[in-house]
Amino acid sequence: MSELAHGILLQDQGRLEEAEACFMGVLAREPENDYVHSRIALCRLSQEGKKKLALQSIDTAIQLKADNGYYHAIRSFILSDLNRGKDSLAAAEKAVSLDPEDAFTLTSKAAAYCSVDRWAEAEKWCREALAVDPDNSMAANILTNVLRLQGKSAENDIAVEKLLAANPEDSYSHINAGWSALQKRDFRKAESHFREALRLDPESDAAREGLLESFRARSWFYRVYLSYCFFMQKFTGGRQFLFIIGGYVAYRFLRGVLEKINPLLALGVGLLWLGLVLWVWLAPGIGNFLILLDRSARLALRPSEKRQGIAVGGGLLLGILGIGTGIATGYAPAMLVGIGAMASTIPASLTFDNDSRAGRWVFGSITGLAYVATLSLGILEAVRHSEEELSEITVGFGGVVLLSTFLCTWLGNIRSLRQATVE
Amino acid sequence: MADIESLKQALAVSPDNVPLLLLLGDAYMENFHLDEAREAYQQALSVEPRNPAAKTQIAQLLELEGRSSEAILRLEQVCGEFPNFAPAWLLRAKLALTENSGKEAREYYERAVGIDPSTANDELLKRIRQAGGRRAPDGSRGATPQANSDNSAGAFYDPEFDEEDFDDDDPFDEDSDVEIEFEQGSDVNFEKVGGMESVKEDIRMKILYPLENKDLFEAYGKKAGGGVLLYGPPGCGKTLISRATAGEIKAKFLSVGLHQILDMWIGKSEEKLHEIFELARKHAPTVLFFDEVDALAADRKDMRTSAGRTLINQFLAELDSEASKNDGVLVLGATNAPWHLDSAFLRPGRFDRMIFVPPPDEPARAEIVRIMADGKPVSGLDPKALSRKTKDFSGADIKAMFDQSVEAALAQAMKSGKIVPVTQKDLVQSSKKVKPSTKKWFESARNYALYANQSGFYDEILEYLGIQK
Repeated sequence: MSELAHGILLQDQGRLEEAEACFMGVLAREPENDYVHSRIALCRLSQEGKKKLALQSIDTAIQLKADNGYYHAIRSFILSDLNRGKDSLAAAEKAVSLDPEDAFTLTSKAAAYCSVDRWAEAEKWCREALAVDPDNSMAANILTNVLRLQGKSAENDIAVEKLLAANPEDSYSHINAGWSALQKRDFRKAESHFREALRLDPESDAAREGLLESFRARSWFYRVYLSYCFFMQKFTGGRQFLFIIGGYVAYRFLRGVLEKINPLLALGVGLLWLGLVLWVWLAPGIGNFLILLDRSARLALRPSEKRQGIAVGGGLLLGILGIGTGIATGYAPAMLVGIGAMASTIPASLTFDNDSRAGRWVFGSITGLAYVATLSLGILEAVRHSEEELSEITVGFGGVVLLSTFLCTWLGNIRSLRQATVE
Repeated sequence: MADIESLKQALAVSPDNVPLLLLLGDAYMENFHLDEAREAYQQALSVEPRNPAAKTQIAQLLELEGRSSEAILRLEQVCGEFPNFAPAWLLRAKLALTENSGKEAREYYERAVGIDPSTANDELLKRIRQAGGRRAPDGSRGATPQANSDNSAGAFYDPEFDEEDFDDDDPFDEDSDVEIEFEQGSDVNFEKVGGMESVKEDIRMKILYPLENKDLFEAYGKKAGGGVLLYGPPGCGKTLISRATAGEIKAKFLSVGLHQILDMWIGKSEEKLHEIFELARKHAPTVLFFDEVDALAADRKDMRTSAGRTLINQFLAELDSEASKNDGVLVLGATNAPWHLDSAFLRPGRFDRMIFVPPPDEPARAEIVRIMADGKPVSGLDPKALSRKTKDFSGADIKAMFDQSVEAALAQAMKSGKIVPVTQKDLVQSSKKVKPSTKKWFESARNYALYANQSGFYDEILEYLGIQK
């Protein structure tokens, strides 16, 4: 086993940094070895913050051997991870044109279609790849996933069965099986698949995320939220946004009509809409809060998820307590603190477990502002409680903060404020 | 070039500073400005006519110019005049190698390393061996024969052993490809390893006491010796503690690195592995230490080539060798990634005992700080205080902390032309800049301990992290 073979072994073991160092050692002796450049690209592709370097490596490999379809396929995978869907598709097409009978290049095209949320085309190319190599686990896994995303439940069931029969020791197969079970609301089965996936690959973040989802789905409340997410997944990013805008316009129209007929009904619709919005944004945080209550399950949470759970769950509890006390006793400062704590949960749900640095700053600042406003205005009103009406400062400052927390429900739809910049 | 400029600036202030002149010469040489380098060394000699470093470097320049004979003559002179100047012996070894005189090269190399162990150069040694330079039988490296007065180590104690009979029976004949050498009874023992008390106790319980009470163990149907796996974050002393274990049981220590086994030719790696085990058996009592054992004992599921699998099978076969054959051979394996080991290696009779080597504790860190500071101009050193500031640091991290401080002091020294000491404050500042590398390892280890710990192998990690499942 040479240094190259040792590097390949390390790569197969998922020890990518060490593998990369090994390959770099080989490259020092053979700087024009295109195969080693492609291996380095693959190592870098799966490491955080190295995707652009991965692209450089595969470009070097392609410069050295331009007619290798495999390299173009890797390039397509990298571009897809860099959120460059169109370029990824172009690279995959080049790969397929060079090597039309290779399952890996055909799968790269399927993955490229996935990166632009075109599930039907992705399914077609997965099937092409599987026609060439029925044992290709990557194509089989992508196929299972796209069938689920399209809501093709019966076909998905068959694909999952096949997948597990062919690769019972493959973590990714169990992850797919877990998601399929979750989509069918069978959270116990999902949990066992995700646990098995983690046993096979304890470092798989996808398996850990899945396990957390299955824990959250123990509550009916979160299962409804998951159904909403699965429903939305059927649409591409643009269509999802149109759906939300359409929903909002429909709500405004309905409320306008009802206001003329029965203002009380209009208020009910308004509250329903508010609850719906809050539920969509707060569900993950509440889910994490519920997981925190389970001694064993909370071990799977990352520190950021724990903080999110505490901020959202704690904020909601304090909110309910404050509002409840305010209503029961008529004590305005308690009501004020309750509303402030409740409102803070919206930006807080977008702060702690947010991959985007800009997003963390924006939503974090609004969360901080909400905490400061709640505390200071609460104290202010408690001190001057003898007055019957709220002070102008409270109304002005509190109003601005309240509005900014609700603004977060719109800002949260901006992708750059939710996703990390890929490097 | 920036270095050269700053050195020239420093020399402008202190033109007769010999260390600076030598540094300037070295910097020129690194940049292949040979004439300028020679000028700097000549200037150093004009200030200090007997300076061995300047003379050695001039010999190197001559060699680079192709005037090898002249270089050799000059070096002979330096070695005669300064027999304890290691760099001159090392350069002599290199020159002897270019003259295809492996034996002489080995002799000079051993002299250099004997004087200054930091001059050891594996690559050079390998080339010397390939040129036929085997170790001289007179033990010129200065290895100390082990004391034979203690027979407490059971099978590992060899009352007949002395250095002579080992050397007479040189296992490295000219055809052997195994480039590996025994350490004649490790000169390190537990006393010389600061801190790490829990690991030492673990080793006593799992290795030393069973060997001392071999008969008692056998009465219960248990076998002493066999294989023990040391695992933990990188740079935390697994190799040192293995060496110390060998020192405790007064056995020969045979350290095997990956490069000594892995071979690109099919079947060759297996052959080398077998030779190593045979060597260890022949010279029992022996501690056979495999560093990065996860590469040799990788999970076969992770291997795509059959070549790697046959090496694993060979390793298993060597470990499974009839009990009597491996008697007196303790196999220690060290790894950062025990989870990548094939489960077959963890069965009874193989690596059936696992010892977790955590990052150095406070006393161990203080000891490492003391060792690192040794020979450096450090003022006001408080190892205990530094050990408190370096929680979760590995030995390598502490070294990085020292390197940063030393580099900063050196830069100042070059500017002022005077020695600028490294202060405690500098070290504390550097400790804030170095991030403990063990944290990343524990992130992975935590996942394995939480999700793939069905056999309880990683309970110690959970305990260390304070996690109760």
